[in-house]
Amino acid sequence: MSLQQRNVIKLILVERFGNVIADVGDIIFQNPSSLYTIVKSADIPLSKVKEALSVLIKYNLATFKLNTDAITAIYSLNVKNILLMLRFPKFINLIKAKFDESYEILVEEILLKGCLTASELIIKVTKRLQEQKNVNILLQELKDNFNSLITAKYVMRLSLQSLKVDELFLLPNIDLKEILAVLNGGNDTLPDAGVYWTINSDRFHQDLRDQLIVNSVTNKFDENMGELMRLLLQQMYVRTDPWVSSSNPIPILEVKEIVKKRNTHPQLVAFFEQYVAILEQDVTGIIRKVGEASGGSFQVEMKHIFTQLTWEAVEEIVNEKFDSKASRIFRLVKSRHYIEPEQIQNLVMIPAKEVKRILYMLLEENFLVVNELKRSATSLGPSKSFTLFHIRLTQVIRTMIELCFKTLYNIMMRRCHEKYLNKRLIDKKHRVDTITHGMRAQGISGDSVLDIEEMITPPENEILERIGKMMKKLSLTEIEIDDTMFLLEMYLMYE
Amino acid sequence: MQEEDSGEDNTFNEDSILELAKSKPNGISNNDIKNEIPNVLPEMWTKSVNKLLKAGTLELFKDKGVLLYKYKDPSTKTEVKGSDNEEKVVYKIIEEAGNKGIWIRDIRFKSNLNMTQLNKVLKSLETKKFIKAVKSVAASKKKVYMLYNLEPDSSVTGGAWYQDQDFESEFVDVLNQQCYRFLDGKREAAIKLGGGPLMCRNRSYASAHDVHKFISELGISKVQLSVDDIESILYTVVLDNKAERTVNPSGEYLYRAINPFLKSPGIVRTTCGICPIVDRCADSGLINPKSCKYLTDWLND
Amino acid sequence: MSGRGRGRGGRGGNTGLFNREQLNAIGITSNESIPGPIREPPPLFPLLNRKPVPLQESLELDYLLILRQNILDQMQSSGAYLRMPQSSERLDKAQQEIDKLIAQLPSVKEKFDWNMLPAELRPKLIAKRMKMKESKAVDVNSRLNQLEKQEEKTEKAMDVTVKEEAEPDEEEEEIQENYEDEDMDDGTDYANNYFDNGEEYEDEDDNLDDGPIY
Repeated sequence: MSLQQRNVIKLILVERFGNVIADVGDIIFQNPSSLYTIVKSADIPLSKVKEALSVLIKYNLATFKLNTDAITAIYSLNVKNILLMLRFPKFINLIKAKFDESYEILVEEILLKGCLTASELIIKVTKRLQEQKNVNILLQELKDNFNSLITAKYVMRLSLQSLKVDELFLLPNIDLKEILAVLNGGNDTLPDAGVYWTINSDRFHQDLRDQLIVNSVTNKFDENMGELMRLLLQQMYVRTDPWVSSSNPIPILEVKEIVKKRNTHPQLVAFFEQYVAILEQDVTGIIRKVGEASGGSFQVEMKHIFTQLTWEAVEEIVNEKFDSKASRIFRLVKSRHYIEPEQIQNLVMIPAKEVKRILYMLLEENFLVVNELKRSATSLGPSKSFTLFHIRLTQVIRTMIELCFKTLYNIMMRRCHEKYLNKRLIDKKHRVDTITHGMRAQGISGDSVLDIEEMITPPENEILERIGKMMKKLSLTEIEIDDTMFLLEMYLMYE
Repeated sequence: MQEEDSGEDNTFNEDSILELAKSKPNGISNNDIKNEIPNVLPEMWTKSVNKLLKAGTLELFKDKGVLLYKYKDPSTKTEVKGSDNEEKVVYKIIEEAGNKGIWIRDIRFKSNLNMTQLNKVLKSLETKKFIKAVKSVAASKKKVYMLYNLEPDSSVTGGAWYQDQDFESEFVDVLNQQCYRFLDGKREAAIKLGGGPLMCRNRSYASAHDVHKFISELGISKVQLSVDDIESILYTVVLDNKAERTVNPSGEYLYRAINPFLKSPGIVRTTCGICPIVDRCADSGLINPKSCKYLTDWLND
Repeated sequence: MSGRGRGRGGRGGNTGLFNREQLNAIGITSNESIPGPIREPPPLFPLLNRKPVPLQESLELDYLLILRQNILDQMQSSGAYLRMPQSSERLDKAQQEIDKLIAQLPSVKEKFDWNMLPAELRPKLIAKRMKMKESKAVDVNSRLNQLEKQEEKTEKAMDVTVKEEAEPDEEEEEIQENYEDEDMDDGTDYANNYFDNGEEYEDEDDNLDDGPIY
């Protein structure tokens, strides 16, 4: 729990829930606290603090532990879930790519509301689809889609009194007649009241992880190898828990059958055995042959894959943060585990002075560590000890995660600041847009709309465009840094 | 490496010239040499003469405007004429070190002389051209001593990568790029040829010999590079994560251009990820995200 | 030490540590060779000799940006986005104007299932109601089912009412937050015309979506 993390958490909350909730969140980030303590430490009225806590709990961003009186409680922040909010766009996009738009909206609504009952969700999505003139959607379809999201474990029950694992994914009792009645203005009680659903982030992470692996394999080899990897992972789940570090054996014939049947990659069909052989023989050790029977069976080395990917990412960070000479030295130290400075000089083909400078820099920024090894007393010679360079990857990763938080904070802070500097203009634009949107909705068009649009002068438009570009850049960076964080988190998870 | 290739001819020239000089104690002229070895080009034997002069086996005289070379017995040289015992001891130590040379500290250690004495002796031997000091590439300030007529070992001069004790970075960088270019070209060609992924992979392997041939034909190197030199360069390509190295059944290294798994991580796509002063960056300081110059430049880029 | 050496002459224009004679004495004869007494501090931001890797561009990333912005917009206009009650005299005119606009946005209060939350978080009114129900439920055990149904109805009704107009009791709590009472006839007339119709817009989320992304 670093300062950088605390800063990021606060800005995430400010952007999505406003300052009141961010302030309350910040207090319980530091220490789990009672309502009384929070009100005392924050300059916020009691009613607002209560509301803030209620919102945080509803969105599963805070948890509470009831005191013995069963009325008062101690509140603490759910840091992991707050950071997850940065990843929501990716979650939604993932569902869009895997299913279709109605699934996408279902998931988006859950994310927006934190949690809701199945009936509430279906009502909400139906209304939204109706607004989009998408009247063809059938309630039955929505219900089925929602159920399949549960079956596929993307959605699970919000567990208030800790439920058993299989209870988390029990399908809810959705009464479409009742829902229809509500939609038509009736106010009937719904049979699933009190049963809340939320997203299962682990399931999304599993997909993001697989996507990362398939993309990486595609980059390194080709599309065909990427497809082979995708199917290997798909078949892996038949016999393996999603998060083990090394999968159970996968009979390769099984994969071959699917490749043949799908026939989307003719090259892969034609040279299936060769692709498998190449992947297996490759120094990266993504899969390992564990059985010869019936074409052989293979394990997917999940933990190993993420070690490889993480190494590469860190090497690339060294490459960009310093230069290609530094990454060359870094890779040499990696491949030799422990190495003396003289040996480094001989192998990297960089002037001695430069090597020394780089080694010092890498040492100073904690990418390398030095081990002093005492020579045994019997041996002769002028030097009494060896100096050995070494990399502690996990330590480097933790430093990198800190850098990610720091960067995230800086990016978000800068965005707030630029918005603040141009607040007047942005608000003006907002207002004009709101008004013209309203006018168009009322069927008004032509000069009167133009008149209002022209309230923004050309120079103002220019500034707005510049700010827009800036905001886009900063937001893109936010999305990309989260990708880096995801990879590093995966590494630590398997560690 | 240079000496090895053209060595035989030169030794032959040197021997003939020496024989000639021995037979004429009053000295030989350029014309005498030309007549003795008419089939050798003048630039070849002048090289040999220069070398012999440098080594001290020939001495240069001028007689009535004609240059004369006189033979000088090397045995008289090794005796260190007119030297005292200390000089003899130090000379012996240096002689033992051969063309790898010896550090002053090690001479002191072996000779048991104190620093002032030793410096005096070394100075004296140097002025008499019995020994020379050579800067070693191993450490910029370190000098090693060796006999005057010796060609320093490549471990002292650094071999092909050094010019006057300076490491030729640009030269190495160019070679690194060219080696990669060759491997990449080989892979591209293999992909074009098709015939299945395994064939493709196997066709994209190259040995250091293959690369050596390519580099030699390119003619970018002013010095003759050995296969081992190319092997060293290829290893840097491997360390740059642009190639991988495997061993074939006969124990030879094979190289192949490879692609990375990942595109550059998001963290280095913004200035903070590569910032040299990120540790000094804080909300309250002069270096802060609101006014950071790097961020401003990057955002307006 | 140097103070004594410089004596009275030190005050007259000569700002260096040494006077001319002293400089001459140590071999510095011409003016040029005296290094300036003030050296420039190192730059705050040393020259960055490299650029970050360019950001990636793709349709997928563009879509992620849109999704991200949609989420933020919807969160910010939802009931979960809490604002501090502010006294209006502290604000400048522009801010007041903006607040009025905000006040016209469909203000949806967040609904809570009070069973999910510790009792101390309940607003007074709700706390009272729930207590009443609880005690009844204890008294008449046999009519439990029926009561539960009623309870749910009340809750449901309550959830809906907060959307419409804040209930009188709740108004008391939120008395400072009196946007609804604000006079809105200066300067923002168009907005009034098109947006003063509350109810219809309560579930429309996309009226802010299609501007450029800020």
